[in-house]
Amino acid sequence: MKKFLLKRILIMIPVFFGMTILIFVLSNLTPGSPVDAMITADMTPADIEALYVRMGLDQPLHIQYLKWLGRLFQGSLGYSFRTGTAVTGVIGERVGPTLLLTGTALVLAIAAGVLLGVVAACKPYSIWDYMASGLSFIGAGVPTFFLALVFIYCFAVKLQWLPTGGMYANASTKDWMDVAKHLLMPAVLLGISMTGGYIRQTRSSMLEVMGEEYVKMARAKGMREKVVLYSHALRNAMLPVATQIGMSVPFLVGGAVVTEQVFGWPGMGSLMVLSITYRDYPVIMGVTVYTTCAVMVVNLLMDIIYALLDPRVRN
Amino acid sequence: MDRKRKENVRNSFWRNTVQKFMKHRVAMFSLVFLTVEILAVVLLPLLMDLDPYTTNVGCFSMAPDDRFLLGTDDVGRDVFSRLVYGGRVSILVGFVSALLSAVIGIPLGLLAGYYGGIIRMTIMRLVDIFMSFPAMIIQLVLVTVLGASATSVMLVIGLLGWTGFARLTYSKVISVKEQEYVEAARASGATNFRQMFQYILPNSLAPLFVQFSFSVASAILQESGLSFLGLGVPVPTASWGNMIYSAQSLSTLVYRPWMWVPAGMILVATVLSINFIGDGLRDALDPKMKI
Repeated sequence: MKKFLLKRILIMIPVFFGMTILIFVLSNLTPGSPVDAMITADMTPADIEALYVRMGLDQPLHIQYLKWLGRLFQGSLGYSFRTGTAVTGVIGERVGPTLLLTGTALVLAIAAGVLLGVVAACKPYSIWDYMASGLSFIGAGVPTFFLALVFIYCFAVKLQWLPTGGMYANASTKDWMDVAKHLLMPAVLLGISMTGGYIRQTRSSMLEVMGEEYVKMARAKGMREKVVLYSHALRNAMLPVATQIGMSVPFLVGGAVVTEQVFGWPGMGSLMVLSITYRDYPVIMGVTVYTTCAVMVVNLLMDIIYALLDPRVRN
Repeated sequence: MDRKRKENVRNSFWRNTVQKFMKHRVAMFSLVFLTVEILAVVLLPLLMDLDPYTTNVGCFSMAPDDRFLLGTDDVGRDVFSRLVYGGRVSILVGFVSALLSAVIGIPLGLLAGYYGGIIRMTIMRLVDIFMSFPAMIIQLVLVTVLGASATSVMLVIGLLGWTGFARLTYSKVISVKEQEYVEAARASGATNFRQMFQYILPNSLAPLFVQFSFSVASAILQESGLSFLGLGVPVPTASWGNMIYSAQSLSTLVYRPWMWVPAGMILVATVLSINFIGDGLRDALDPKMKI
């Protein structure tokens, strides 16, 4: 297990470099210079030149990358072109809301997905089975933003149970009940968009495993159905589900972009969209680095869980 | 086994699959729906006088009436025409992107699964790198780089969607290649290429068909998501996503539902029917499933 861990962590190094180079090249290919947005009518060409030099944009690309990477390791992501403040600060205040939203959504999605998936598989053609497939089809087929608009129309505009968007009714009193009220709709919606995949995967891999020889064998030995189900079938059926959850985390981040935008949730997703409109490269890079690193760490955790579940993986 | 008998066996497999699929009522219904829809978006502009671009002055935000079947949008364009033309864009983006993903992903997964070693390492690390990226965020950056257009949206979704195919093919191949019939082929001297494409790939295909259909659905959703953010298919070109974009304003959301509800409904119906077809396919292709 130790060897597996070490190997897995070493593998992350080239992945990290590949990722940072890609991000850097990508954001530098973006048409339009960030300086464009800062030029005012009364600036002379010399002023504009000075602006380029001040931002380090006059240097060759690979030097810019190395400098950026060096600063990255020191924990500095540069300064936002839009606000002029440190990127870490700009992102820092957005991390909490995004983690709160995605975390809540993920927990809801996994709980609902595995539970419904198992029940649907064990009692095929029951009401639960139909309910699970219904929900999984809604989750997989209805775009989050459309469902969000419908939810806003129903629960915020017509029934007025929940706020239409934002995170606080009043930013100065950070009341957690108020945050929870604002969180409910976006988290449930983001959860629904994720849970379809989990239900499908759990159900189909449970069904597949139930037909395997070792499950028949366990039954033939006269084991109780519960033991067969949980210690033989579910344990093995969870492998593809664990993969599915790990694989879906980047989509969670992507879904958060749309959800945050619809609800005006002050997270990294809405920051990303805002930064693209302003061509604020340091923030675009920063958000991308942050999110990809987070996804990498989650993937590592998933792989460890995978190895714990399946001894074959460790070797 | 002589050639003719071999063909019979193959034919009966596909005939069996088609029969099983046809018994799947929801999937069949979805297939009919999707066919009708594709015919409609292709043929309606030829049969009817549809104009999705002209802004009819004095007819801004009009509710549905005799002249405008589904009303007009906020700059006076006919919503019904835009729905039809938007369907062309959205469905095309879905299929082309998924095809692009499959063409990149399947061979890579096959190579990685079959050869192992350094080839597997390289390909699967590449998959890891791509999968560590939250696709949506990279898509946003890429679309900005390439300039927003239907073509760049297709490219961006297709180029980032191949990892699913590669991983699935890989995971299927590593189990299929250990099967006795592949060992038998190897023992009787089949080349690597022949083993891969005649024995392993055909036996790994079933889940890939299913993946393809879900991939089309997902590409349509991704396109609509990007367009909804105003960063996908740019106006005046219509897509279902950028039609729903108008509902970001609360007054349109509440008072002018004809601008966004039809686009949303047809989007949902399309994605659902493609998913149902995928489900039907999965059941029909599964030899263990008996109907």
